[in-house]
Order: sequence, then C-alpha cells, then structure tokens
Amino acid sequence: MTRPPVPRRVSTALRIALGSAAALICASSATLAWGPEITRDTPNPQPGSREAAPRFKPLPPPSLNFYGSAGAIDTPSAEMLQDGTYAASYSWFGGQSRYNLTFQALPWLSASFRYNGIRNLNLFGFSTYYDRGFDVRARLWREGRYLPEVTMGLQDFAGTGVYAAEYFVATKRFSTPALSHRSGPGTLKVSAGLGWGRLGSYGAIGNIGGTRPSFVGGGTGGQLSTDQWFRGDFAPFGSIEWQANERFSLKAEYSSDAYRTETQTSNVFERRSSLNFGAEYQYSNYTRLGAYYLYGSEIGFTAQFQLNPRQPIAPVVVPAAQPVVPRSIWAKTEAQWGQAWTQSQSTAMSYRDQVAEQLKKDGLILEAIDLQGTLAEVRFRNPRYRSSAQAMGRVARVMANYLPASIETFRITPVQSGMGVSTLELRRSDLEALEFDAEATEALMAVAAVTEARPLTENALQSQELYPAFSFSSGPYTRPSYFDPSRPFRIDVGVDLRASYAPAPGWILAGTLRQRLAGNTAKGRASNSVLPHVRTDISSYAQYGTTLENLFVGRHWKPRPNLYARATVGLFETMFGGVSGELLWKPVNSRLALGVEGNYVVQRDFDQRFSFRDYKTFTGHASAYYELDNNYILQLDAGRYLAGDYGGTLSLDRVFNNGWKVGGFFTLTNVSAADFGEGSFDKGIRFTMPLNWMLGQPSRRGFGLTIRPTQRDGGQRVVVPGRLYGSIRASHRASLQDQSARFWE
Amino acid sequence: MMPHLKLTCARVVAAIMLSLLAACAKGPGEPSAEVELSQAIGQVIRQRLAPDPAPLVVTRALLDSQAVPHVEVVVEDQDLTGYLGLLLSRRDNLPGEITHWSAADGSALSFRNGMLIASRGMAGNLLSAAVPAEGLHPGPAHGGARSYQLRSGDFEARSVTLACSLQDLGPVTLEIVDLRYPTRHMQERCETLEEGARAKVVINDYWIDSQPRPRTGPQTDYLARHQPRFVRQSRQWAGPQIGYLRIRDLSR
Repeated sequence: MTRPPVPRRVSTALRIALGSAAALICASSATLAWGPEITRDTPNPQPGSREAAPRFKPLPPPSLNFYGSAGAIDTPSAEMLQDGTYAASYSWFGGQSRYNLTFQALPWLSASFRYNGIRNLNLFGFSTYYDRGFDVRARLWREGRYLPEVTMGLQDFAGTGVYAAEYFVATKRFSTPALSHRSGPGTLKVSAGLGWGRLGSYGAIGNIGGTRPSFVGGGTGGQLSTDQWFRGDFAPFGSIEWQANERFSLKAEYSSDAYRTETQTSNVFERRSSLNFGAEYQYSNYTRLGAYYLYGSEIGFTAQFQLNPRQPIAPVVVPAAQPVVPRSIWAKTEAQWGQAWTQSQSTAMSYRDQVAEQLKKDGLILEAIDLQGTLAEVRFRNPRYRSSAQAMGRVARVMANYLPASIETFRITPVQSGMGVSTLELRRSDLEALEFDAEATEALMAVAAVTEARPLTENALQSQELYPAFSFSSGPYTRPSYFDPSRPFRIDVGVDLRASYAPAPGWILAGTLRQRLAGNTAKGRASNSVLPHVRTDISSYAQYGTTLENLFVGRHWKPRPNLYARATVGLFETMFGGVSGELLWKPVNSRLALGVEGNYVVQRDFDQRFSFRDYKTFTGHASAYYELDNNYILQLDAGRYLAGDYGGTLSLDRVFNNGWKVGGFFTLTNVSAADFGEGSFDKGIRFTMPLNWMLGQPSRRGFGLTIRPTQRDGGQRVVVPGRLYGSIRASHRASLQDQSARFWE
Repeated sequence: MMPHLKLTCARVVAAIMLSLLAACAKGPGEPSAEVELSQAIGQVIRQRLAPDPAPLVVTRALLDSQAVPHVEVVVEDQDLTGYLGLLLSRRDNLPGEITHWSAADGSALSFRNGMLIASRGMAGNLLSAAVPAEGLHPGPAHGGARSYQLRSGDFEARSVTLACSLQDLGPVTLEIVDLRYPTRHMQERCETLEEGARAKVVINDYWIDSQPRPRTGPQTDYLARHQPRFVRQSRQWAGPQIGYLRIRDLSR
C-alpha cells in the first residue's frame, strides 16, 4: 500500500491552526489542570519516590473519533486501544448523534457496536433515522522505528450500512518538546489513509470494481455486505493530533466523507469544507472530552470513557487470612502426632465444629468433613470469593491450623448446588513450607493436584446446621429494553422479593415476586413478528406491575464421574415455564465440555401469575464448550429454538479472572431473513461487570447486560435458572490455574 | 414529550433509591448483585456518618503493657499509620527468620530478616518476594537480584525483578517513643533491567540496631532467642499500588 500524501493546501491550513492553538495551550497549560490525577510518567522523578519505582498503571489510552474507534475527529487512525479496554463514547454534530461501544478483544483486534440517530433525515419513513452498526478493526503491523502502525478497518460492515466504509490507515508518532518543566514531552501523531464507501466519497483518486451498491435504508439488514467491501471509489484522508501534555490535545483532519445522504439526498447539515478541527481535554485516566468545528459549518463534541478490566475502580481488598502455623511449632509431643483421636466420634465432631467456625470467619460454609488418620477432606460452599482458588487457600489454612497433626493429606472440595465440583489435593507439609516462598504461588501449584471430586465416604460428618435452609432477600431490579425507534432506551425498575428453600444438598425450591415501581417499557411497540411471539411481546408482559417472576423446583446431582445433571420444573422466567433437564460432561482437567439440554415449555400469560397461553413447544440443544487460551470461551449450540426453528448459535466470550466478561454471539436458524424481520438473524453482544471490580470488596456477583440490535423471535432460547456450565467451570483446573495467584491472599 | 420524560426519569431514580433502601438478605443463599450493591452503599453511608476514631497516642507505658511486640507502619502515599502486632515468628527452608505481623483492620505484613516479603489485606498486595537474606543477618546481606510478585488488577501476579547494590551510610542514632537506639543505616538501591526504557529505581533503607534485643520482658522472648540483632526501622517499597512503607519496631 502506498501512503497518500496530505494535500498541500491542507498542511498549510493545519500549520496555521496548530500554531495559534499551540500558543493558547502553552499559555493555559501551566495554570489549568482540572480533574483527577492522570497516570503519566513524571519527567524526572526523585529516586526513592513512588514515581521513580516501577508502575503497573498504563498510560492514558489513545483518543477516539466520532465512531468510537481510535482516531482523530471523523476519520480513523491506526492506533489500537489497550488490550481488554471497553470504550464507551458519545459524539454529536449537526443533529447526528452516535453512541459507540468498542471492545479491544485482542491486542491487534477491536470490535465496535454503534447506535446512531440522524435528526431530520426525513428518509425511509422516519424523521429521525436510528440505526445500529458493527465495526471491526485489525492492526496489520506495529509501529517501528521508521515504519508507521498500519490498520485495516471495516466500518458498519453488516446491516443496512448507513456508515459503511472500509479503509487502510497508517499512523506514526513523534515526540515533541515539553511545554514546561513540569509536564512530560508531547506527542505528535500523523495519520494518513485510503478509504472506500463513505470514506471514498469525497476527493476520490481511483476506483476498484466499478460502482458500489449505494446505501438503502429501511431494509431488514443484518447480512454481511461482502459485495461492497473495498469496492468503488477510494479517496485519501489524513489527520494530525498533537498531545501537547497529559491533558490537552489538538486535532485537525481532512475528511474524505462527502456525507451524500445527509447533505444531498436530505438536508441534515451543510458540508462546506473537508477540514475539521478540534481540541480535547483528558479529564481523568478514564474520561476525555472534546469540542470540534466540522465541515466548515457545524459545532460538535464528544465524551469518551475508557474502562479497562485490568484497572479496577477499587482494587479488591480482602482481610488477611490467618498464617499457617507449622506443626513443628505447636505439636511437640509424640501423642500430638498420634492417631488416637480417630477412635472418638465426639473428638472428630469437635474438629468439625472448629473448622466450621473458622470458615465462617472467612465467609465460607462447611458442608461436610471427612477425617481419616492421615487424610482430611473438607467440602465447603463459597458464597463470597470470586475466585475458587482464594476460597481454597483459606480452607487450606484453616485445616492446617485446626486439624490434628497426624493429618498430612488435605483434600479441598468446593461444593456447588450440592455437588462436589473438583478437589484440590495438597500435602500439609508443602503448605507449611511454601507460604513464604519467593515464588509461593508457582511453588504451590507445582505440588498441588486438581482431581475429580469423589463421593464422600460413609464416615464423613455432615454439617448439622445447613439443611433445611431458608433464604430470603429483597432488592431492586432493573429491566432495560433497547432500540425502539420511537424511544431507543426504555427501562423498568422495581423491587424483587426472592425466597428459596433447600431441604437437602442439591435440592432447591425458589421463587421471586416482582413489583414494578416505575418505568416505560409498557409503552413499547407491539410485535409485528410473523413467527410465534416468543420474545417480542415485551410490552404486553410489561402491562402488569405485580408479577411472579419465577417459581421452580430444581435438583442438581452428579450421576457419574465427570457428569453433572440438572432437572428443573416450574415457572422459569417472565415468559416461559415447563420442565427442563440438562446433562454436562466436564472432566476437571479438560478444556472441552459437552452438554445436552431438553425443555418442554409453555408460554406464560401476560399477567405472569400461574396461567399459560396456548403456545407450547419443545426446545433443546446439544452444546460444546471449549476454553481457549487467554481466557476465551467458545460455545457452540445446535438444536431447536423457542419458535420451533432449528439451527445453531456460536458464541465467543472473554472472561477475565476478576469477573469481567465480554462476548458476542449469533444464531442462524432455518427461519428466512424475511420471516425473521429486521436484522435477518439473531445476534448480540453481552458483558458483565463484576461487583468486586467496582466496590473493592470480595463478591461473586456482577451486573450483566445483553444487547441485541433487534429483539425478534427467531433463534431464541428459554432462560432456565441454575444452568450448569459456568459454575462448574469456575472450580476446574483451567480456572484454578488462572486464579492461582489468589490462593495465598 | 420532555416533561413526560423528566417525570419518568425522576420516578425511576426515586424507585431505585427506595428499593436500594429496602434491600436486605437473610440465610445462606447468595444474594443478588443488586442486594450486595445496596448493602455496600449502606455500609459506605454508615462509615461516612460514623465519627472518626480518636487518634491513638502511643506511649512507652502503653507499649510495655502489650503482650506482643508491635511495629508502627506508615503508608507514605496515603499518610496512614497503623500498628501491627507480632502474630508468628518462624523459619522455613530458605535462609532467615520470618516474622508475621497483623493489625486489627485485617492488614498484615511479613518480613524475612526484617525485609518485607509479603503484604495482605491491602490493595495491590505484595504476594511474595525473593530477598537477599543470609543466616540471621538483619536486613539485606548483600546486593544482587531481588524479585517481587505483585497483585495486579485482573487477579493475576506480576513480577518485578531488580538488580540491587548495598551501601553502608554509617551510624545513626534513632529516637523511637522516648528511647534512643544506636543504629547503622544501610541503603539498598535497586534498578529495573528493561532494555531501552528508562530504569526504574527502588530505594530501601534499613536502620540496623547496633545492640542485641534485650532478653528480658514478655515482648521479646521469642525474637531475642532467634534473632540477636534486627532491623529497628526501615523504609521499604511494597509495590506500585502500596508504594513505600515506613516501619518502626516499637519494642524496647
């Protein structure tokens, strides 16, 4: 690829603009620093100060353009965000607003989802035209000493493609002198690219493959627009960004987007120039604000927020666990090392009660303990810690400090829904030897074994106080719904009253009463689906304020080694109830899991009490799950969906150790694009933000969100409480290995 | 349209506030994220409303009345001072005497021959460390490599390796809670070894007590037997998140 030169006229204009703005920044930067501290390298830190010592916090991320990707104003640059970053941004100019969500999935690959509104477009039957789109960007090579960073991008590459464009762009960074002795050196970024589609619509210098099919709004969309990619006219674009110091930066660009639909077909704004200018302010490590003058006629602004799962809002702080006290310190006599204690049931029970008491202090619940002469197994529930490894570490310390000296082998078994999920087997002397080792985590994992949880022996002592167990909670709920053309975002909020009763391990009877307090979901549009309305009657369901959200009986058990089972009967969710069964095969040390699930479901009445509608169906899937490297989980489901359609779902999720999760999925079934309606097939993105990341205290919970560009009836699955895979995987080898650093904390 | 929207917003916010206040959970079942969040918010409000505890005035008489030795720890960056009591003193297969100190607020520090090897109950904990310990020599016995395993945001360990040189800065007399101690000031200057990047520098200071720990009194029996000379005061780096800690041994 050749780098197109920036036209001379532009560079002169840029020089003038930058020159005058630089003077402004020089004058203001010494006095203005509004906002929280920004993590940057201090120019000349004092040795012995924290600033001079190694730091983990990354530098503020690259700035974003109006499409939510790294770039200048309306054009992209070749930069990538930091790996794992979520960037949410809002941009507005000339009546056009764009809400962008970008995820840097890999160091060289990012994906974006965008919801945009164009006011007064007055086309395709809408005054304000709302649309959704996906972008993907891949870095082709990194910046070198002389070579620029080069990225290829596909913008709005599926769907109706109002913003469809493809491009190659190159960016080179240069260091600029510091403006004052207090600030570090600045950075100048120069980008140039070649664009097709929108980005090839002004000042084209060539053409590949003849005429490109033009944008037609109002279609069903959802198909990959492969027939358009890199077709038609192409034009050069370019930008320059000067980050004068850690807070201020100036941008100028030459845009090759003619805005034909907005300015020629319709009259959204007037495009008088190809030059855009802007100034941005880094308010904090996460937040950046910008103001711009675009296309010679319009004022615009952006607000950019970049969150990185690796940078918690509040790092998790957990009270220190008790240190392991080696037996050599407290077991001095031979009698203390003997096994006479095994003869007495009451002694064993007192050990059980002591262990239960100590676990309680760590927020853990003892289910059962099996004490033999030289071996002990503890089965416990972990309602507190995100990582199973951390809970196991705490159990190990309690065992080391409270069990008789003769016990050398520890078996630590987390229990989930009454099932032993895995067992960590340790030698007590390793635990005593390694707590203060220089590489304590690695050393311990090297001598620990993760095995299948075996059934308990007959001598095991169950906890006396656990069953039957009654739990109750009340708290708020929120239920958002998106992308209704007349109101893009609707939400209901209210209170949930939840109660559950566990008569014995593995059994649960649970229900949730829901009272809506406020919201506007009930005013949503009525369904126009030609399929059975399995998901699109949201507004009909939302007419009722006091509802029974769910009520079910569930049982989890382990029929055979490596095999987990679930059976559930009742009202599963807002819209469906019935019977459901699931089997999951997941060996402890395997990255692969296979599952099968069958459900016979009946659609619930709109009032969500005990009555049903006429629609009944069988829905079920065979599923394969595979744990890839870098915490990616690939899932493939094939089977019959709620509307009776057959097909498959492919999903890919990135699960961070601290509970952050982000992923995407799509479902293809035998429903035609026309019958499916808007979007052509079911797809979406989902993410989960863990509470421990926000609050800085241990928690296993998080807030999840699934966003579909359009909610239709094809490719939909029933929601059944207590599905197996997620909770089982969390205590298996790959996950324990990933979280091993938590063991000693 | 707008008044209606405002009304809805107000009602939604009011409803969320109301239901947050109503959040509660009982029994062994796991509460939902909403309930946990509400409880956390409640806790923060209670902490904000609670009066600040009166600052602790440490006197020699108070220290003498303690059953176990204590250290005073100042977290420089947060300007926080804490007092940690000795919980455990032991040996393992590596050279040096390990001491483990803990505070009532759930934080804890571990040292090997007076060199920090672990922190717990803090954000960005020092998980483990390799330190230049030799026999019962107080503080670093020599220069050379040092490594730290540190907690970082995604529940993972990150490693920092440094190359250190040791310097004797001569005798210094310290005064700690009414008592004067002759010490020797040792300084360890450590640098990162990354190529190309500007070297990062860590400086640890140790004031080694010139006199052996007295062998009388309830506070000193274990340490006195095991570690004849010791680090009376130090300033040590505990990782990028915690920063530097200033530690003073308050025992006689």
